[in-house]
Amino acid sequence: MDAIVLESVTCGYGRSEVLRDVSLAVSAGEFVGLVGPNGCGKTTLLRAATGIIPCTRGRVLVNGTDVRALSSRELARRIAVVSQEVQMDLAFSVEEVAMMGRTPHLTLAGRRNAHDAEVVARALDLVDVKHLADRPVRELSLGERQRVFIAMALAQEAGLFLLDEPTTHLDIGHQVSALDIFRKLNREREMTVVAVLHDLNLASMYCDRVVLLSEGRIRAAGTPHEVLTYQNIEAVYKTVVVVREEPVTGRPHVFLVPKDRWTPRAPA
Amino acid sequence: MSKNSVTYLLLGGLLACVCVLAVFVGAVDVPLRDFMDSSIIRLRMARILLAVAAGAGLSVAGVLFQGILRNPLAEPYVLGVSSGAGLGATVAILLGAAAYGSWTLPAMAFVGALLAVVIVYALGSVGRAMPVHTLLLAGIVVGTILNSILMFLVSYPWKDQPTDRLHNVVWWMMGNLEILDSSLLLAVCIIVACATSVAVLLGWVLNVLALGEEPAAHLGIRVERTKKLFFVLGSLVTGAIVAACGLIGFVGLIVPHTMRMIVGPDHRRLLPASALAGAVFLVVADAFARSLLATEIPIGVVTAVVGGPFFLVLLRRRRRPL
Repeated sequence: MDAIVLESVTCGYGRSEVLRDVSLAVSAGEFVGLVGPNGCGKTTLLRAATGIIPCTRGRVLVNGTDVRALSSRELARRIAVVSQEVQMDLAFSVEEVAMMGRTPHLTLAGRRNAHDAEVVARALDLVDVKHLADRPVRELSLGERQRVFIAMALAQEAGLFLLDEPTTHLDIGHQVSALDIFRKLNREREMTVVAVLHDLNLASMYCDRVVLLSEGRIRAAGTPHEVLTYQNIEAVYKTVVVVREEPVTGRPHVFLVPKDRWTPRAPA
Repeated sequence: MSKNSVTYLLLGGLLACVCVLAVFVGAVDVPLRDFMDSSIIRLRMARILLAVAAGAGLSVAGVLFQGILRNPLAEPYVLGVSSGAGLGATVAILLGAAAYGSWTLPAMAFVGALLAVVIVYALGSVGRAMPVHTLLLAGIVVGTILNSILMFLVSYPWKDQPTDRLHNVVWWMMGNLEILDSSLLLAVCIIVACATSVAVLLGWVLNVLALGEEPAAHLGIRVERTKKLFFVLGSLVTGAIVAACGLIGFVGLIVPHTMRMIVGPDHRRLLPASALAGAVFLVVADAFARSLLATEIPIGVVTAVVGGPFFLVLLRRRRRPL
């Protein structure tokens, strides 16, 4: 069963096309990383997947249903997004913000029941911010705030997570702990995760499959070993890199090379 | 008893006290015995009722505009919405629309308010964002232009308009709680009560909107529709109040800001608390306006003198989102 399918999607903002004829199928339970240079259309792909921007051609299917046929509430019960755009400097308490994740499950009056409280408590527990429940979000550290918004997404009880650079602004410790949460959800609860990641090495370490985007098209897709080759990376990022196996996970690791050390590559 | 119910009780009690005290304050000093059965008491009570409705309504409108625009400085007067409503009401007066019933004046004011909101919103947004300063500039410029049109309409020597009616427009522009039409008072009270109820009921949606428009959309909120609904509610309230008592500025700024410090950012508490506190504020401000000098000071002057500096202090402080 495919969690989300993009069928030759073309879309963009106004007249400019950002994605051109992109097709991608993500199976339920997969952990997929979207990588590519700035402006290659990674975030646009997520926006197209949630119907925030409409496709000019092609279509997006979520659990086999066209997103255009789903109401925004129904869609929010199937897809949870951890967005970069979220206002982090909120005066609301941690618990209130996590409770906002219940929005697609509430009626017009917005009344919450015991089940909602239970789901939120579990979400806060899972990302380890339960002890901060009554604190205003704006008083927390960046890493803690990021976990609060992950708890909010968890409270949506959706089967599919779309993450838009969930590790930006985080130090390496928090980067690993944020992605560990999603790996755990992915492994233990078979949640599907599609993450836009800036860091190729994080993508390599955490993803089953990596999709490399360039200029609005899919340049390569496959296991980290297949996609994260120096040929692919150099062609897309226009810089020289060295790829070696990372000793702990055995996944490819990308090393950057400063321009004054660029030398012609020895023939293989 | 929770901290919030204490706040509501205190505010409610305070409102009752200031209303009772305000009845005994005024330019005309009447001995107590004659006072109780004079027509002055009925006039003053109507006036206090209007102050309650206007204070509550302007505060609620302020919270609504601040919530949808995610800008703590948004307010009907600053955004030019009050000027739009004023122009709408003036056109209604010049056309003699009042003859068609007491709802025509607030209805025309509502149309003007809505028009101003749409223009300011379009001018104030830069791409998908709406920077705080562009929005304020757009509001002030649009407000000034609409005010100038209003001034032109008032100064033009219309053939069939008695000058005293136009003089009334000028007086009314400065904010005037003197109520001559009891059905207009009733209309204002109904509109403010209904809009406040809807706003309190849907306050939780404004909370979600505080996350940002795209995150709110990801949570299943239909952002554009929600924003339109709250814009209409805010304009409706502003229109009704402007139609009845002219331009009273900064109430929607001072009151919500103060209440946010006391009850926090949650709109389900902020809206009712601001409505109560706004009513208290305007009743007190009106009591001062009536008693400070031998002649009455326009209420809009009082709120502007208090609210203007408040606004500047907020503007200079580092901007914090809601």
